[in-house]
Amino acid sequence: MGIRIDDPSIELRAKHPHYRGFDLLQGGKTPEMLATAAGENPFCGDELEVRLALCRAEAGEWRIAQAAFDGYGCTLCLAAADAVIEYVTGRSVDEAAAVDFERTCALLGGLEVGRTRKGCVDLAARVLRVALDEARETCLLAGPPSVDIYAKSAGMPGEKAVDRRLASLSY
Amino acid sequence: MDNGSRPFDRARYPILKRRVGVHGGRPLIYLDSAATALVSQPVIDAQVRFLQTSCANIHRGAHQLAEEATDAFERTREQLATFFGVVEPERVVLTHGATESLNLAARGWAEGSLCEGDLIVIAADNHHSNIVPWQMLAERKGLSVAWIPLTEEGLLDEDAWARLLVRAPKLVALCQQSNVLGFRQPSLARIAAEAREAGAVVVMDGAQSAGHEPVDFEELGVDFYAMSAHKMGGLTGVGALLCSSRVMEDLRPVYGGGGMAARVDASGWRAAPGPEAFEAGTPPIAAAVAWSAAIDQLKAAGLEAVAAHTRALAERARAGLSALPGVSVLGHRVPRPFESLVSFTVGEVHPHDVGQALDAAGVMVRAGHHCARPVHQACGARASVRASFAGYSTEEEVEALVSAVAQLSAAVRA
Repeated sequence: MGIRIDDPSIELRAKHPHYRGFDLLQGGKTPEMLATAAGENPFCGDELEVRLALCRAEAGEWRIAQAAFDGYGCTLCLAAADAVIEYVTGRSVDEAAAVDFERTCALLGGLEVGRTRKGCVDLAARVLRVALDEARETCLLAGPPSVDIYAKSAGMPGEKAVDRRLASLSY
Repeated sequence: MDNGSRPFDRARYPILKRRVGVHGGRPLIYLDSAATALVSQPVIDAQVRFLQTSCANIHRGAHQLAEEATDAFERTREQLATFFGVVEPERVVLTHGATESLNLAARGWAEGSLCEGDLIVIAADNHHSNIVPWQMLAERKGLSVAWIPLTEEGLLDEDAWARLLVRAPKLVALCQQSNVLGFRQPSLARIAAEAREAGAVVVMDGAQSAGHEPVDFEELGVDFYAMSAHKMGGLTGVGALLCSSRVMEDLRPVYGGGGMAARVDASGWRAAPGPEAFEAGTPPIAAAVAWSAAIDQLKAAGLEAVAAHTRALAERARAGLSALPGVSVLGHRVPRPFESLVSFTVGEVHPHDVGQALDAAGVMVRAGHHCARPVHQACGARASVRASFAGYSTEEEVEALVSAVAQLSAAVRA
């Protein structure tokens, strides 16, 4: 049996998140790429930003070395964001991109939620996918980058979502 | 005030017998009438009766049922004209709701009447339905859009309006009653009059006021007035656009097809005469017929009585909520009565969480932007919780709302 939206575990997660705040991205191995995206739920005011620090593993695939979120959201939204970010941290970009609404509900212990609140639960996964899509389009699909990833390329798709200027990274 | 005497008899609303909550143990406290009003049994019966006895298409066919259906549909049009003070029923276009009505004004009139560079002015307290159609039109036609901003209190900025008036706007979009701010804008009538005197067409969204207070379209002096049946006790899926004589002449059909064309052949088409030109396809006949029953209900209750009742409840809610620590009522600094709704925030608690907590107590409210983001931005709120009242609402329900919010407020501060 699933859990309801008023389950204490949801409120607990939202009030005591592990992955909220971009200070969390300080330290650790210097990422090769930082992917960022933001999104909102148009009807209720939820706004989330997701930042992903990406590194290439020895086998060559891109992985999410570190991740964090921040923003304004209801309890469901914040709990879902924390659960999603926890899940994708350390995983490959492909695994992370597969996170959807159903996966998010599973990560929250089998959450059962109606249509009117689905958007609150799904926002983090949607924003995550935007960040990953932009990163994949601009740098990953072509395999090893043929240009200096530290140089800003005007006119590249996803400029808004992908910040490749390590020298001026700010969290 | 509540001695059991209310404009609407609660016994006529079957849904009010429902028990809600996880175990069905709580009475239903419905405070979301601004989203959609509850439907009484007589209105339900009117729809069912039509479907059971006269279910046929209208303006078509030559049989008895078609005649009955057409008569019933047109009776609603005539009744709306009388009820809202439109001299000719032909200037009442039946639509699928206020949103379609406003889009009809935009695409059916403004599209062909405004030119590149013309200025549209939009009041910032409007619902998105009286904003987006004008923004879309501006994109298509290269029109300019300017706003009558709101002050921090939520009042239309009259100085800003005076500056806009000098720019000779061609169309001004106004809201008769905000779906977020409870009070009626004191400068609304003057702005509408000045706009018209300056040669602008005035489009007014009446979705939250039609059926809540007496409205006389001719006295209002606007060109387009939009409303929805389900906001006044009718069914969803039907509404109306009241049109002044001068804009009716230049109103053009937006949807083409059956019922709206007098002639169609290989060379082209010609619009049907009258409002049917703007009512393409089969309209929501049963819902329109049922709307007549909702109007009868309003007439029996008396709009003045309905307005007084909801105003008293809204003011009670405003006072009760404003007294709670951490609770902020949007528009509370304006010294005018709240007519039928109260929007508020509870500290930093997300409105969805407030709504969820109230829902657990059986209190049904709206949480979010209410399709009115500019209003929230003007008031410095990301979103809000809205409680709204109707002729069947009670003082006890207001007390339940305030009590539930008080508990939440205390829990947040603890």
